[in-house]
Amino acid sequence: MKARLNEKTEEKITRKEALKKAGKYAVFTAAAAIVLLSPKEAQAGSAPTNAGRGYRPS
Amino acid sequence: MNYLERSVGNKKILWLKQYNRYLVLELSAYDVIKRKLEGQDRKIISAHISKSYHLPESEAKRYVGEIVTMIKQLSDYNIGDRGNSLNPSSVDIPNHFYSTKCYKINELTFHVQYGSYHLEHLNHQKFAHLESNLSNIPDHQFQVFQNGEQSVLLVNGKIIGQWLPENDHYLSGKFSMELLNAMYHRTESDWMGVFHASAISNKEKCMLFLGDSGSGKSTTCAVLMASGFNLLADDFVPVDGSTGSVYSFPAAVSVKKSAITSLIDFFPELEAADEFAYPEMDKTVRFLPPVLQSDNSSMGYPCKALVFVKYKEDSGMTIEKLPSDVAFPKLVPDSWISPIEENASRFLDWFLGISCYQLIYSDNDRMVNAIQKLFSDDL
Repeated sequence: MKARLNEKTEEKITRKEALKKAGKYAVFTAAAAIVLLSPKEAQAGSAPTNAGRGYRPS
Repeated sequence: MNYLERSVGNKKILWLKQYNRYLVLELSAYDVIKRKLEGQDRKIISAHISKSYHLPESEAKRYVGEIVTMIKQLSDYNIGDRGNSLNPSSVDIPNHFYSTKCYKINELTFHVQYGSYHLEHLNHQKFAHLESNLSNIPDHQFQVFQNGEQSVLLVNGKIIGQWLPENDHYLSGKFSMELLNAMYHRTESDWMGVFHASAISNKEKCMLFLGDSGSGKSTTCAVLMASGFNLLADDFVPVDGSTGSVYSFPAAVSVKKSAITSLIDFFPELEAADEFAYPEMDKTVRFLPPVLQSDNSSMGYPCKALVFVKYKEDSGMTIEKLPSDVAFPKLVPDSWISPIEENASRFLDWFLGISCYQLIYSDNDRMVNAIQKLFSDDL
């Protein structure tokens, strides 16, 4: 979680720096003017990734 | 047509067919991309932007360059469902399976053979309430087993895909998708999308509840279910491509341990229900079978609203309209939306025709009252 937060903070700083650099034209930057959205590549469930793989006899 | 466009507020939405990506754009950015898609030269676009938006030529050139670079970089993304195509001859179907379960859904019988305890644990629990005696001739046969490092899904003898362990949630999603198709005699191309949401209906219309994992959408729908609404689907909400209607899916509601206390009064059976731990997702759940007040499970329902829900202690209840350009970026990344143009077009029209709300609450009674009013346009 911490790593993810740091990545987001870093990303925000980079965007912030980019917008600051653009100055009064900050709104005319790709970062400010475009939100890119990627839908999921396939249907996904909220599922465990490791619940004890392998054969377990009943 | 290699793109679709719609207006939302003072912005534009573009869908790029080649990449199956959606963009929410300020008008100036839309202007650049549209001209580029129409084949205009970059210099001409820059000159137009400079003049139209009163930008120095150098800034217009920079702006156009940034946008064009961003669009070009889209081709770096791979589009695929992470279920690799498989040569049938490379699959060894086991002679023996760990278990065979029979599910009865909509008068159809499904035999599912699980190759291991893990694969059964991954997929069976949410369908356990549908279990029935094995029949001689099932309508559909599913087989899920290990093939080397990867898990394989076969449906009626046809290989659907294979997935590495880290993509188990895609295997689970595809398993549900194949079940959905068999239930309604459809194929994947017939669906507009599948949403990571919970859906309830009042037998005439329905609502979708969305939010991050742990936001309370399943718990919210369980409370609504106890208050007389039908649960249509939990976690996996299918929407029809030709009508935009929301269809039911019979998976049980997964109730997190933290929500048991608040739901036990409504559903006393939860107290004795088996508990299943999913350490990799850091959660423990019990399963609550969906309750249908009247059974017409083959019907789809038009969607009245999308409600972005957040359970927050001691917050009372607030519900506010959410602008579409704010709701759209919340919806898309967590959803599978069909990459077929007709379905993408249907999705855009479907979304823009629905009201969106932000619901924050801790008071169940007030929340139920608000949802009832929302259904009857009394909010």
